[in-house]
Amino acid sequence: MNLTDSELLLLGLVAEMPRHGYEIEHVLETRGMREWTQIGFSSIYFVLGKLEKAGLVLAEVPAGTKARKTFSITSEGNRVLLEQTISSLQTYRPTYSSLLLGMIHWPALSRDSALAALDGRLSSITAEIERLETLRRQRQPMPDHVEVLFDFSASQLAAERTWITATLDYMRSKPWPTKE
Amino acid sequence: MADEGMIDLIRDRAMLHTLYAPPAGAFSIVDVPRLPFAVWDGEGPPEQSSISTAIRNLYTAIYPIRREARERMGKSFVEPPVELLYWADDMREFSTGHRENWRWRAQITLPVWVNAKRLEESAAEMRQELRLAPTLRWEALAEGKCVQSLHVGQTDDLPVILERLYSEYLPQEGLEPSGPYHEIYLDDWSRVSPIKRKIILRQPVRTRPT
Repeated sequence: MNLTDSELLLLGLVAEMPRHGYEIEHVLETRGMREWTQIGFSSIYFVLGKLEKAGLVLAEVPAGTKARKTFSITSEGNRVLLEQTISSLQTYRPTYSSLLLGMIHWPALSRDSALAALDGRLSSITAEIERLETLRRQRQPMPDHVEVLFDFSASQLAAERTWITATLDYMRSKPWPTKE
Repeated sequence: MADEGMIDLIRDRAMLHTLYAPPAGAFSIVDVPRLPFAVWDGEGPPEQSSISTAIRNLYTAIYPIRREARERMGKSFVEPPVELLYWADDMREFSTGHRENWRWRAQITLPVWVNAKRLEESAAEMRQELRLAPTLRWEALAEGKCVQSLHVGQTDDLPVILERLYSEYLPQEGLEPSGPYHEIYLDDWSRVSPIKRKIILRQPVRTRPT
């Protein structure tokens, strides 16, 4: 069984404790989980429905007239959660940056516009580093395992920034091939 | 910079264990040393919304300290839990669970190398993220002799345990309360199911005069 990112995310939230749909929405919002998954409010119930059909979560309507559906994890759901979490952690999945395509077509640009574009990327990376830092400060308290997750993203961005700086320096000093 | 005579819980793991991992489901006696805290004084009765705000603000205010602690201590860093002290002007209000007449404060224990000035700097650095002007202060608290117990599960069971503590256990042992009642929350309630939540109940005591 292979879950999508949204399915795995919601399965994990329901595994923490039984939750209502609107409560899941609230958690997604407060923990900033929309940073990594495209999951709108309307699709929460759709994804939960799929998990229910697969026998991974149980939807119950508690007694009472205005009671809302509560979703809780099944033992099969727990098994799948552990399995998928381990595979997410241990298997590297390549993600392709737009930078690769941009770099491939570097010679199509004029010297000035190529260097200016890379310089623009430097600004947007710097802005992203600052945005993450702000989020981190606003989202306290954060447990240690989330704190290190932010460390991971920050170090990836810092590595890219180092690369851009070095590459700009290198490309600025190279002669530009004249187009025939 | 460390306050003389303050126990470093990071170095003294046995003490950390004694204070923050007592036996579950039974009362035990413990001697709590002087420890440094970031304290947020509560206003009004202990309601979930004001307590949540206080806890968020406390953690926000100490964030720079926590980051420094992670850097300085590396692998020996332990996430500090949030603690609440409750008291009533009339201590009889206590075992009855009439929380509307209780007073409270939230606190988080700090590394020994943090003093009042460092806490103030830390909160100043987080000014923009704090929802309220911080009613924050540094305090060293020494509770001394205490009875404590670890409770795992719903908070609905607490009044019964407290009733047992104040009406049975303390009189039997010839003890009486000598300070605010103390709860330590070992889990983040937004991530842990109510039936699995671990709470340490602690009551400072003294020998009852005969």
